[in-house]
Amino acid sequence: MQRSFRSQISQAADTPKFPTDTDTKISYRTLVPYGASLLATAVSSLFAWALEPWIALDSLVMVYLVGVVAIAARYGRGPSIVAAVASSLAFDFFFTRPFFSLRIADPRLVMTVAVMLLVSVVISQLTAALRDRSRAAIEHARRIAALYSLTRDLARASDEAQILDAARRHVVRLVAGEVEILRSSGASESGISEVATRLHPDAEATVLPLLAAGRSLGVMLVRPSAPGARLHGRQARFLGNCAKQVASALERERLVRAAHASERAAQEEQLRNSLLASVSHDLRQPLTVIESAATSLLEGPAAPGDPVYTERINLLVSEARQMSDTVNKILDMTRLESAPVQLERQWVPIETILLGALDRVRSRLAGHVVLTDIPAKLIWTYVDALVFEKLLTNLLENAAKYSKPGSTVGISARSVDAALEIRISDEGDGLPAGDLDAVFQKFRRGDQRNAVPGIGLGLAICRAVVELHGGTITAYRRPIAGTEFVVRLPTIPGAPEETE
Amino acid sequence: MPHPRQISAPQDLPLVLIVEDDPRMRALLRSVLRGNGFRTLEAGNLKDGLEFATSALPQLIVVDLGLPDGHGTELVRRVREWSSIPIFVLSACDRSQDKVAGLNAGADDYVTKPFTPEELVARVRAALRRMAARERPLATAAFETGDLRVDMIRRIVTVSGRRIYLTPTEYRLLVTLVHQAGNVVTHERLLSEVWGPNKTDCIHYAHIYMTHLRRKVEPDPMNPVYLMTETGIGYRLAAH
Repeated sequence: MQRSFRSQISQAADTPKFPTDTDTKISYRTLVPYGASLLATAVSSLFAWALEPWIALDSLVMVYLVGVVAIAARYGRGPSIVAAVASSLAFDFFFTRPFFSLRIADPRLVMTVAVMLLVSVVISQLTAALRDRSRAAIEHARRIAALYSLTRDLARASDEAQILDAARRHVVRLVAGEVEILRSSGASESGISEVATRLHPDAEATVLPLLAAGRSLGVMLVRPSAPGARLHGRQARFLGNCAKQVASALERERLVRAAHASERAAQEEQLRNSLLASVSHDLRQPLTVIESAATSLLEGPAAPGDPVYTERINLLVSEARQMSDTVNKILDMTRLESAPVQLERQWVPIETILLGALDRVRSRLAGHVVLTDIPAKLIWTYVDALVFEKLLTNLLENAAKYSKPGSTVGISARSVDAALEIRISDEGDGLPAGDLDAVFQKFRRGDQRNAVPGIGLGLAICRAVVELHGGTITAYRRPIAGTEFVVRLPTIPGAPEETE
Repeated sequence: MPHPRQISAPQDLPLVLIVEDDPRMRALLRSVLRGNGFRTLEAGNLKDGLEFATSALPQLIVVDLGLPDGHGTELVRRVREWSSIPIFVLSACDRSQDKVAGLNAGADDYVTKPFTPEELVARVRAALRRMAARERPLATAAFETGDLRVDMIRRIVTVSGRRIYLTPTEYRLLVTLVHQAGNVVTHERLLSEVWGPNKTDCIHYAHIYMTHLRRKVEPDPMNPVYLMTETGIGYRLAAH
């Protein structure tokens, strides 16, 4: 069985906020509270000694009680009992006659010491209980906050790496030690645990499975850094919750990715189908015509000068042109889509590019009335002249193709609000009802049943060119009949002056 | 060494050397040129092309830019070292840098594949006419195309008999185009001949003065018949 594991290890940087319980071993750290108890007793004794000349003996007991309460509040039950007993003994030793002896001469004082011991033990236990409860409440609140911030970061994470990063960051902050997340693809839970144990022979690591919808997504390994330290129950439960959150975030991310991938695949599939359909239609159709026209010329009785001969030759030429046009458009589109497109921008008057474009479509516009409206003052544009000429050529070809001979094709260019605006209009049948923006999509043609040949790339090329130049292109339905395309290019400062 | 393919034809017909590696394109050029009264000679690579250019002394060379053993521009440069015969570069569409490089190396015009036979023949004829005129200096004193007439002795430009008044720069621009009539003149060449060799970066000068010239010379400036724009390359004076 093949498994893939990726592991990341994080190390806690700061001191733990959650103390870990100890086992049988006694470490230096565990002795500190008891030392503090004795120190508190000593300090209380000093205070009591300093205050003795002014206050009654009975009241000195209060000084010791303050110390006991302080220890109880700070270190809890065990140390506070030590402090209570030590304080009673110290009072007895230093302040009851005979001094520096545990014997007590005055029987009333025996009572005082006994009551002092009792009271200090009771107070210490009450204070410690209060402290424990408040500690628990704070810890609980902190865990809730931690879980909340983990959940929030997991929700914000947009990919797997970010999810794992957030998980490690949060868990490490709450547990002193190392956090490692092993991702699996398709491995069973037991398989992962087995590998985890093999990778980490020290059994101290807690292994938390990352399960979502019955699938194992991996495991989270938590190893406390202090040797011998173990996670206590509440922490383990908390980590279990964290693991659940991480698992569901991973699952969500996986589902989102899967959805994106299938959407993209569907789009690519559709584009491939359109391309295939267009290519087979727009290349095979003229090819069939060419083949049969050529064969008929080869075999047929028609001779040069014969009208049938001329007709077939014309058919050959026009179909071959159509094919060549299709291939050129596919090449143009491919080139414009293959990033990065290197534009050779230079300052050119729009008039110059337009004249070049008009020259290229001269034969196709021969039957139309072409009206140009361009101001006498040159409008300079900073464009790749050849690429931009292609845009205008495509728009003019389009106008010629979709309107009848004899109708008017209008071309205008002017500067409007820090932009160059080029309008190309025709008096054709106009665009079909629906989304005007859709005409710029690849392999999209105004009317699918239209008899006019074309692959449906011309306007997609136009849009690609305009967008490369930072402009916009929009299609409009003209009020009475026809279509108007408007290209807007933002004005770029630095146009040449009309001087030598 | 391969033998130059040459058909027996009257020796006074102009000889065109075709340097092209694609045999189909060669066959097409051969049939178009022969059908229009030229003799042809073919070479399939740069080395043979250079060899034939010196040994057969053609009147015109058509050279493909992408040859198996080098770039067609190399042939243009080498031939230009010793001869001013017209050279046309042949290139696939959309390779404007290649065309411009070939033209700036000294080629007289370019032909884009696929080409139309009429266009090719018209340009070849224009180039050969110019070469012939160079040998009879008086014939170059006046130039006519359509209704446009440029009298280079008296510096008078007329359109349909009507006198057109040009500034000295506009006139120099027009004369530069006249000297290359029928064939393209690159922006660089226009700039260096009209404004001087240190002004070849100022393409906008060419655009501005061409616009002025077009507005004065053309009957309909937005539908020019004499001063044609070759976007990204240069300008061409149509020779009718």
